[in-house]
Amino acid sequence: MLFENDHNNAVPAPLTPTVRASWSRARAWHGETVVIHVRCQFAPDGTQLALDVSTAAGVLVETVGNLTINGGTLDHNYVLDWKAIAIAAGSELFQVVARLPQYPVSSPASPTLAVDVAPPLFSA
Amino acid sequence: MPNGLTKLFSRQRNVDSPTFQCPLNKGVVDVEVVSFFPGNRLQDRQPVTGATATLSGGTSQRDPGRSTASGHYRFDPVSPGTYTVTITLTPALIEEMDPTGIAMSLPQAIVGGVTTPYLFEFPGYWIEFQIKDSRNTPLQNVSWKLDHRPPAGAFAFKEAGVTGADGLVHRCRVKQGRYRLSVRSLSNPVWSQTKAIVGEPVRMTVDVTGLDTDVTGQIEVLDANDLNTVLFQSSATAPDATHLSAEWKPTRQQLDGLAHSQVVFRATYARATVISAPLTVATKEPLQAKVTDGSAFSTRVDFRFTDGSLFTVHLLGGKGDLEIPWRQSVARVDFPAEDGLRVKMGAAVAGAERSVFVPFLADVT
Repeated sequence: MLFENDHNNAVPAPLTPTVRASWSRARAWHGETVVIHVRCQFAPDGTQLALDVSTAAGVLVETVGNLTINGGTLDHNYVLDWKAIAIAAGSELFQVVARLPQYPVSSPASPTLAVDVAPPLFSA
Repeated sequence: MPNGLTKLFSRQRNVDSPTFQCPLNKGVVDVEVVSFFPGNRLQDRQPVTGATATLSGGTSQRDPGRSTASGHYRFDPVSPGTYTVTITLTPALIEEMDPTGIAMSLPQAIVGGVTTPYLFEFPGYWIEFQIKDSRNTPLQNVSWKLDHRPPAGAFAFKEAGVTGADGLVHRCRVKQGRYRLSVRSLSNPVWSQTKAIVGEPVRMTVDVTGLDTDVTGQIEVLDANDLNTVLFQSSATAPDATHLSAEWKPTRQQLDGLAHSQVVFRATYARATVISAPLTVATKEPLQAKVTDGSAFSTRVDFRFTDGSLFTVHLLGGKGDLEIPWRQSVARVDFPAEDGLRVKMGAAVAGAERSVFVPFLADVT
């Protein structure tokens, strides 16, 4: 991000916010709490934030809204409680995307979190 | 003759800004040289030091003097009359102020017992950047650096800082030329490996903007769960103008307090900071597959760990390595049934069977 001009000029330097989101772990069991780390640049304190949790195939599982980011940092404790949510069969990898709806700007999809959500198999 | 009078006469000749008071029948010429911001004459007023003031006219003959740190120079005392003060700027001052159209000489009448001000104001060259978001809100706490390029020269570092609530980087009385503001930011934190193995180096790299030698970047490896426990920290090196990097070779000692296998790295450059995706730390253990007659064979063995993760070892020529996530243990071992394998733990293979020898397992059969 470079802004340049000669002396005796007022130079606007507009910056587009950037945001990144990642899980605190690569794998977790259903029912555990994981942390979603969000880091944002060039958005003022109090900027609204939403987290979209989806399968690796992009099917939305849940949106966590009503969040705000301050100092460019949000570490959100997220409970893997999807008992009431219909999750596509075979889904094991999940990603999170952080959105700043006021701009609008979204993070790239996070690296995946592996969660074993298949029904247990019992021996006969 | 009284001592006071002797002093008065002895100091009457060419003393810069004398402090004694003039007699009532003499006047004082008080020269003041300042620079100002053309957008607001009252803003950024700065005294100009080193401008030469020359007095002419009248009957008092005085040598020229230079404005002091306060921007003033006094000709004191001078006999009443009409005096012209002429200001000469040094080449260095002309680089910072624009004398075009400014009267460099000022004639005024001096009367006895009165200090007469001679004010010379020069517009300073200025530059201003306003850092704001795409919704026009000024951005606070943004790190920046400013480079300057003189009319016939190359860009060189001038200064660096952090924005306040108004998002402004405003400088007045700067040198003529071109100004370039670089916003300091970090992005795209990347691990060089998909897993950090104890005893093996892993490199951490981030993209950086606004890099310069005035700030050293830091990279820390943290417990991914709390982001507080620092396992390793290092100054970052800059392999080129757009990257910061550091290498970490995990040791068991560093990982002592880590209750799981997940770490992240945090890079910091000025006020910019970024967190990487988590990485699994693992130890590497050798595996061996052999027939009891000592001949080697190749096979594949799956290991499932207590955190649910899976690792497949391809034993080529009877040898391979198992990577065990930190603080995890083996929960299950699977191998192709057609190989007729069995797993031997912590003991040499006995019997005429094909076996995988897992030296660190104690109670899996």
